[in-house]
Amino acid sequence: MGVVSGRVLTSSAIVDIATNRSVYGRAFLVAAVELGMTFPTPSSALLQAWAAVPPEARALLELFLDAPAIVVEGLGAAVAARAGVRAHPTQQAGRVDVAAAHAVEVAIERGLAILTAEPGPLRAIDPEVEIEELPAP
Amino acid sequence: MSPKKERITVSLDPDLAAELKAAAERAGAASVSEYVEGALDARMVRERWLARWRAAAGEVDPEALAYARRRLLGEQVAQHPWAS
Repeated sequence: MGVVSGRVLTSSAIVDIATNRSVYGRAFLVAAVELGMTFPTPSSALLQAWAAVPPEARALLELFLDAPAIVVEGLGAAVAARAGVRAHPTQQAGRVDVAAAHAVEVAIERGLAILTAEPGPLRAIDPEVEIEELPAP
Repeated sequence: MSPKKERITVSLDPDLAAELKAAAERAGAASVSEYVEGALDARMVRERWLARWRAAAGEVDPEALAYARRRLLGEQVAQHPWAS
């Protein structure tokens, strides 16, 4: 089996790609497709992105989902259990960011870094998780 | 019934040809042709999507693209041959 490389996407990264908030989100997506890499995309992050993008960006979000690099990761019972237990301390501190917890779980399972514009919620769940922060616009 | 295959002759560096044969065997392909066809098909899927993306979203900023390639490949790798 070949080595699978890439990044796990968060909702902020997906929104960046769909709206071109910075030039870097789209650059990472295009580079990943060129290089045959994989960007696992948690379904919960996708939900947040669909809610966040303006209507005029929805067509690009559809096209994003067609990219050969994009593999949507569902939130089944087993992943929910592991992610929820991992996020327990953040529940004690306030509220759980479900999509961030899902992304951290996928990243740990896959051994990949997370591509995001907002590292805070991820660090709150796991300070050790590897993060690739999108450069500021 | 699968469509008739077209035979195409390509010239390869001998080391690459040896690597290709070994890779096809490792992958359990029935033949080198089958392995090459699969690799080319995956490449064409990527090329078609990239063309659709460029048509819809425009060209990616070249400096940002170079940055992303470096980050995805690891800083020690300057550029992937497919990325040129």
